[in-house]
Amino acid sequence: MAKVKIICPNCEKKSYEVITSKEGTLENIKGAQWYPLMKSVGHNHWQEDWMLGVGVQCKCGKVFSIHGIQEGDPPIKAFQGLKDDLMLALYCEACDSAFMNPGHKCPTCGKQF
Amino acid sequence: MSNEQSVEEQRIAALCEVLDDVTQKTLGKQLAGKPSYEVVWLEKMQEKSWVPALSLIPMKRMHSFGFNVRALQLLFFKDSEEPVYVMYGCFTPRDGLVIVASIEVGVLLDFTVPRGLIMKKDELSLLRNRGESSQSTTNPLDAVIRREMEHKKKSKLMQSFKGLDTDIGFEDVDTKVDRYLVIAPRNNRTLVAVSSSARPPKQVKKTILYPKGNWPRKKGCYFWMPNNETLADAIALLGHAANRASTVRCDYPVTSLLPEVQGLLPVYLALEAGRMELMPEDDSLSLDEMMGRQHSERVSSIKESIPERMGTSSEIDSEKEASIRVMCPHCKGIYALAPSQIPTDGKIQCQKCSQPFDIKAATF
Repeated sequence: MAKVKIICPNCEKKSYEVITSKEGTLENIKGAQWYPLMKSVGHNHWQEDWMLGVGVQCKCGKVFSIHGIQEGDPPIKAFQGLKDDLMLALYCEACDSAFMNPGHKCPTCGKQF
Repeated sequence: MSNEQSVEEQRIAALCEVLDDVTQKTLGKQLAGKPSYEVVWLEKMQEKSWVPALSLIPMKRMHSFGFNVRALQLLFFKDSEEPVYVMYGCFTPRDGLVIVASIEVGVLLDFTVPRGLIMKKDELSLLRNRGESSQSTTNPLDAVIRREMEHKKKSKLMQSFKGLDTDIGFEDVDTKVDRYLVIAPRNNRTLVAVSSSARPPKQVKKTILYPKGNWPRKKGCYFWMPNNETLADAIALLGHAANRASTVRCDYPVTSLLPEVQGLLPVYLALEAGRMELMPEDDSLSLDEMMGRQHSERVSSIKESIPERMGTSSEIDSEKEASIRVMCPHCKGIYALAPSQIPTDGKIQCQKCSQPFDIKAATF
């Protein structure tokens, strides 16, 4: 088991702990609302897997992604926002509704994640 | 009310007035005009004589009844051009008593989503897309609804889903109507439908005496009305579901097979979506046509072009070889081809008019 501390690249304040197993699989991200990222892999076909990366809804209100979790990859690192081809369904707590769109902007209240 | 009206016409008029009353109380200010109604009223049915399309609600304890009255109501909201379809399922346990037991509400959205899904209780299942393997992969709509479920204590969608009833309690009749939320892309549209039982408020077992006087049974007829909150919750859930679906709309055609549910509305909406695509100039389908009480060429050709039901698992297995829907550009004939029937150059001969065409221009 390994623990790596990650700081939100948006607010640079909140920190989370990425916990992986001996085999290098992701066990948990402590303190965070985290989700495996999704990618389009063909016509009307998607893959959703933490190996693609993990999206985190930070308490600061912005979203960031974590890559390199699996063993042998470059070190675990956090990035602002999401890479272009990756997607994530987000939950807007102001509107109490979920959505998914490329700009990560709540379609109801316009909040930018 | 004129004496020349038949008993059936009087009953139907009374039912519509009762439903109108509930609708106006619940949604009055949001509506652009009066709802329209279509009612099919059959004689009370015993278990043995249930007509399949009407008998989707099994009753337990003491007595069994099939729904023998179906009312389709079209609501027109001020902020939308498309109607909201409401299907009421009713039964008549004895003469002079009508129990409105189930409400389904639905819309047809003018876009498609990547895949269909159904939520029952707290369980979410993906529907199979036509022409794709039944392997359960995820998609953006599924991800959005799962996100709602993860926040079920606060999510507006989950809270209005929770508000829907599943029990109907009446004297010695006891039954359950499964609540559901279905989202399914069909014929370049997406049907969204919600179902709830229409239980009247617990403490007031109040019935409506209607009409006074000119009723075949001297005492008039009692209608057990659905409660306002149920209709309001169902409409709210429908709005939330349509909104979530719109965030993941896609610009290519997808055909989702329909799930087996205790209800008629998904089937009606699926057929109506087919009618809109294939016969856009025609009038809407009637309940009689949809239930098969009246032979309909339109329904036959829609059903031929697109399967109606999800079917059982054995039916799914038998359909393993994915099929591709084509429309001949010459005769507009629509049929399905297995991939093995399509030559590599994509040039095929129409099965109906024998003229050649290119598959690339004809799939949808």
